Amino acid sequence: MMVTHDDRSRGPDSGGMTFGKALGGLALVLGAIFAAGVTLGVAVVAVTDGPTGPMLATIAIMLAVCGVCLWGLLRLKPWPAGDEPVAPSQRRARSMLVLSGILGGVLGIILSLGMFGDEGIDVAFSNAPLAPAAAAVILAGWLLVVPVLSWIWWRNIDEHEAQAYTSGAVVALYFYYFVTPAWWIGWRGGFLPEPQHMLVFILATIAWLGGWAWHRYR
Amino acid sequence: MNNRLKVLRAERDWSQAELAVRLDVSRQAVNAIETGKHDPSLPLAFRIGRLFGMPIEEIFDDGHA
Repeated sequence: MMVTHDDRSRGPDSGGMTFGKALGGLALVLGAIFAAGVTLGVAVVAVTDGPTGPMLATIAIMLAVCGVCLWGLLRLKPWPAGDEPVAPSQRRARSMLVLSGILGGVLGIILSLGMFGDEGIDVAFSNAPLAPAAAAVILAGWLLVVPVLSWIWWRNIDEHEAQAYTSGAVVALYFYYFVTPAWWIGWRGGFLPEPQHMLVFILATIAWLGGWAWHRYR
Repeated sequence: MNNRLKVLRAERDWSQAELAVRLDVSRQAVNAIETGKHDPSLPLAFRIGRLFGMPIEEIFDDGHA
């Protein structure tokens, strides 16, 4: 008996992960990282320059946001069941993802601690000067460690994951290809603020993740 | 592309995760193949054929047979 494309019933064996769940998990992780980063950045400024009311309020709000995101993650559980057998290559690929996440967190903390300035919450996305030592550590991690982890991860993922990753990359490329010149032209025309390349980078990354999640979990 | 993967797996009482381990792919890959959302590459199709002891064309049907 052939199973046709119309026979797409999602029984208990089709797994708990869906596109919506994956996207929700991604949004909650990004939200938690953002809130934790802002909290750390503002806390550093508060310690060095003395705390102010708005700083303490920002820290309280961001801690609450971080807590809500973590609570949401625990409720959503966007990860595989613990008793599910996993192929060795998939286990290695997941380990690389976890390592990359830990490295990203460490680099984010170094970035927050290495910032100068007292602009509070704005400093997280500003072009404020960075301590040379912090910049050197982040560059080494980004240019030396991340490529190696990425290569090992790429060597271990299966073809379905590779196709999802490639689809996401195409979405991100188109996003970058259209948004960057449009923003630049809009700025030169006088009706958009100056282009922020790191903002475009972050949005392109989110587009990449969205394309990947859609292809992998739709 | 239509296929008999779900039926063949059920006959052996394997879960998607168990089949994924035997094919060295993710469970999502098995699910995507079973539901026709992903057409396996030739190397993976041959691995599937060898695992079930059948030729590829008895497992996959492109509708032109």
